[in-house]
Amino acid sequence: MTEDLNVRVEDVIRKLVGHMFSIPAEQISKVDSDADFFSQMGIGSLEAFDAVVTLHEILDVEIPREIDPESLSTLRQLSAYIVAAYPEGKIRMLLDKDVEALLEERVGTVDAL
Amino acid sequence: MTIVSGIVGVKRYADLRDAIHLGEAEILALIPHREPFRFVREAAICSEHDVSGIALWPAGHPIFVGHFPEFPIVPGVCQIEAGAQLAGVLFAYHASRSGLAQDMDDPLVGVLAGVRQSHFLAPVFPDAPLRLELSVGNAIGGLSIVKGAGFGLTGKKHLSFELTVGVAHRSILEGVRDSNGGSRK
Repeated sequence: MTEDLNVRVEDVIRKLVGHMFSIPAEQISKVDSDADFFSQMGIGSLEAFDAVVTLHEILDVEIPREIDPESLSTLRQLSAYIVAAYPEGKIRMLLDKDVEALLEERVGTVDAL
Repeated sequence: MTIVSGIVGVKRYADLRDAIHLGEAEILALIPHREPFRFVREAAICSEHDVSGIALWPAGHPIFVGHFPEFPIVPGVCQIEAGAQLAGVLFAYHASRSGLAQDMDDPLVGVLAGVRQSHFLAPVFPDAPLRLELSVGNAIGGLSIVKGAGFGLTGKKHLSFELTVGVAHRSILEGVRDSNGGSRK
């Protein structure tokens, strides 16, 4: 069950990052879950950081204090991190909405200040 | 502090009785920026993640010669830069008190790495203090998100922004400069 959930979350991450950086669908479909995800997508460290921050905003959670970027370098690691760290309700929200809606509704607008 | 939708809000400047207040001398000791490109005049360290400050562009500042002749307005990019400078004050202040030794031969330099969002809601004019309030998130690989807003004396919001800031050793930046044919002066 958890493995199936991980795969579904991987798919969301793949689509989300592809949408954020306008990556061709063909390139997205060829991503190896166990190789460096962001380099396969053709994006650098700054954009990778933006993607991870965006994921946290979509989940409406703060970035944890101790987070090692090396431990989030593959798609499988990213997915496992989200499934392990966040409640079922947030995961379900991630799976139930399309990418455009997730980006539109994410918390984090600076106008909250 | 207030929690707003999972984002830690910042204290209003007027409520910062428990904050560490920094004047010009302390700020000059913390960040490398100098005139005419140092915009932060005062700062109040509220917590590990929150800082308030005052930015000001005096009448006669060289930037107003061209922006605009006969009608000076502080450029939006300078307001963003002021936010980045204030974040630098926060980082440098905490670093100086953490006991971490700086390698003086190759010091860490704060860098503005991205502008995720910016909204300029009302113009800022010469001699008008801009009160900046920032909240800095936890870092990933040396990069942090800075969420901020700027307010005029009446409390009116003039801008909001979200920046990506990081730190890099000066040698890294010098390497980029040299490979791009940049000038050392």
